[in-house]
Amino acid sequence: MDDLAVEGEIDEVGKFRTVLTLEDVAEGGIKRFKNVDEIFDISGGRLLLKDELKRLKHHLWNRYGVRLRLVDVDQALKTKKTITRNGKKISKLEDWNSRNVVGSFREGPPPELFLRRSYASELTVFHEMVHLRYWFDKKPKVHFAQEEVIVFDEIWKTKDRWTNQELLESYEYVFDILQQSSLKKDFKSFTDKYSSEINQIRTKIQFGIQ
Amino acid sequence: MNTAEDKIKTTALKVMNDIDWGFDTSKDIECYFESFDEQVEQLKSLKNHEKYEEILASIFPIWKVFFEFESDTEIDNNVMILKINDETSEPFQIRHKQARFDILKNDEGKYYTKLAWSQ
Repeated sequence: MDDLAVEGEIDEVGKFRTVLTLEDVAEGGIKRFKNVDEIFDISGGRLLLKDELKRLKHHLWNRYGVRLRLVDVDQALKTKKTITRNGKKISKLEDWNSRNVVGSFREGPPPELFLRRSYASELTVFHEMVHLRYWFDKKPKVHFAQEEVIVFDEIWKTKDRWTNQELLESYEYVFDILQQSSLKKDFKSFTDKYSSEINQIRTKIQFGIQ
Repeated sequence: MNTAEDKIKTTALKVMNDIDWGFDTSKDIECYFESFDEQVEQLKSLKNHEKYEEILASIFPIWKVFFEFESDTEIDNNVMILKINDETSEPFQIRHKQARFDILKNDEGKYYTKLAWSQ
């Protein structure tokens, strides 16, 4: 059985429509691809839920030679106790669940993109695809915090696609890791470039202005 | 600075044990102290904002403690950051790039997490 079998139904105009889970509804951020070409253009993706994951799987393999593995579908990742934590053996899915990990790209070999079938947000896919493309394009190795800046730059270029909260959280993660690193010039450059607009976003969120 | 780095590390290890989050114990635990003044510097663009004083009243000096994911988790390009209030020495947040949790403490003094944001 295809591990990416899609739950869905055909709507009144014959177009495939995914069935939303309670999780999807609770998130309240459901958006759909218009067509497959738009999904994978330039920066890697917009939204992947259910049937879109199937397309992503083929796209990743055909274009990048990267295998997509769904942590909450892949039987080995669900059940095989490969991780030792505090003396206990746990599976990758148990590990992800305990810390709310939702995606990870590994260069390998073999190169693999790990996602969840039940929760693959547009931003998660976008973020990991920037890492994937950076690797695929054989860009120079940089400090991991510098690569996160590159990811944030891509997020910011497409900021109209993201919520204020997504932008702020993405910024704050990069801010923290750059601040702690020895990359003082990078930190200054990053904050000089973004802090003013991020502060506006911060106040909007803090005072409930959307 | 109100809380010494050694105490911060001790608190951080208790939190990680209580919430049962693993980390790469072969790597050093890195701490960063973010002073009140550093935070004010980052907020300078809001000096003329009508809520500026209110914003200033909400900030406090913070210790940020950085943990790497264990190698067997195969989670790349991500780190865990635990934040501790320097004034109270109490942890209040842990995050990685895909999620942010509030840190709370139960009646027995054990820390636990509550998901506050997920990517």
